[in-house]
Amino acid sequence: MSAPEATASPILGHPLLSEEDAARSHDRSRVHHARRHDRRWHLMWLLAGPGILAMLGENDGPSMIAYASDGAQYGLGLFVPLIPILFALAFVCQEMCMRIGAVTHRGYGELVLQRYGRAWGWFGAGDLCLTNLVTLIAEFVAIRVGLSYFGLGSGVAVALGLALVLFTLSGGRYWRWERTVLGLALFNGLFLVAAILTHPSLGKLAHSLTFTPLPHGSLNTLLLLLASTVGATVTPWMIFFQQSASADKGMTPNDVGHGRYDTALGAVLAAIFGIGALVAGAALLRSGSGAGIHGYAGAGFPAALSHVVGSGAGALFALGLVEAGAVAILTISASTAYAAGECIGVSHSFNTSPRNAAVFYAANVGVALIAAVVIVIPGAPLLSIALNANVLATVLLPVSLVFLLMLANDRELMGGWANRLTTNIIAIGVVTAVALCGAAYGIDSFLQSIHVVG
Amino acid sequence: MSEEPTTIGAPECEELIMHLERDQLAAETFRPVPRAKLGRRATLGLWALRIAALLLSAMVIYAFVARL
Repeated sequence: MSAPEATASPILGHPLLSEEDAARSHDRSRVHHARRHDRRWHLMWLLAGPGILAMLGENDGPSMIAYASDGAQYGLGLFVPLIPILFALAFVCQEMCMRIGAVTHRGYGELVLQRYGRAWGWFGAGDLCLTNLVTLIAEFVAIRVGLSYFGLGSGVAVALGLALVLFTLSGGRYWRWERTVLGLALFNGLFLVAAILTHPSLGKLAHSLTFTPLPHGSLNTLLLLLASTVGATVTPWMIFFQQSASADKGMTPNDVGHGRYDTALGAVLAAIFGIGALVAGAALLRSGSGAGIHGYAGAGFPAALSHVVGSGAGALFALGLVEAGAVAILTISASTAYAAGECIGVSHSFNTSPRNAAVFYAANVGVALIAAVVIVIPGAPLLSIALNANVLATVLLPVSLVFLLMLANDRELMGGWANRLTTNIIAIGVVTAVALCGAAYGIDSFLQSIHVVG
Repeated sequence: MSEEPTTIGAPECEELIMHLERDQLAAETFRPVPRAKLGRRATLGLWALRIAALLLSAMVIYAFVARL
């Protein structure tokens, strides 16, 4: 690993500060000031970010289409109570990422590589790059679906996605990048507004909290539905992203409490907005239009919603898809860039200029560019890519989760911040459930392809 | 591959450095942490995990190709 040149300062006895340190120090000075003057809300504002972005980034285009599709095909039962439970599970995993990042000041990729060897480090980074690439393709597809409602095509979707990546990278500061993406991510709430416009029955919504009515269909269909939803709750990019972003933001062990609030707030918002997409989709079931909506075949979802509920709901849903895809492109590209910089051993911070972190910026733009190119290739199997992106991320997730758990229990690294027994019991349960669901989802997908199951 | 970041001069360091923890400095984070010592069972478990992940990935990739 090549360390940046660090010469001891004759005055301070500290290494000379890099531009990355200077930018981070500036951000930290504001945190210290807010803490010293007991300005709690300002402190929360300063320390919020990585958790909300990881959670709302997971409410990406494919996820929101999947929620709406579930609502249109199966109704509210099962999913309304399941979505908050899943985000609670995601909180358990993401809290560990935040804590490790704040305590060690290092990203997930570099810690795995250094603690457990290059093979595991590169395995994790490779699996991340592959799943990120296919997921990014799915995000561009989601933007295209949203824009098609307004009569705009693939070219605009590609230009918009890439322009956003370049714009957010142009500041040379983590703070600016985070605030820009955070501002954009709050528009995930458009799904909630779209749901309200469908005038859902509050009685049915409350009734669905009792897990009824259960979706119809065979046991295999039900299990697959459950496995795909559970398995997709946490994804490898979220793990890489939140740990690296927490370190890049400059969080320290003193900030772990606020990091938990940030992650919890992200989980709550993501669950509410996810239910919004589900409820909007369920409006199609009420009207009898849901039968034709099947996952990505639901490319005309905003149009169907517009037809059934009104053009306002359709337009909001379409804009929501554009936002969900765009935010995910930004966060997933960032996670790829962090992983690339960490594994190669070069600067990997938004606080470093492109001149001094060429690999980081090149990976950030490069992965988005490759995904963008794929979606404009005539006849590219976008539907298949989008469907398999989720399965691939799910089956590779257990590896990332196991290392996350090992790092969170590593007392040499974490000291007193290592997992406690109760956290471990919950976390092991979550990891086991996600791993089993992921494996079941992957195996079922394979058996379907060889026609062993229907 | 080595990328040398622009450094801030020593007189400016004093005020900036007080807001950062020492192990938070970019130069410090580039110092690798020591390799973990894993027991035989942990190593075997990780190998099993690696094989399972590769097998499942192969299944998913096959399913993807089959659907093309």
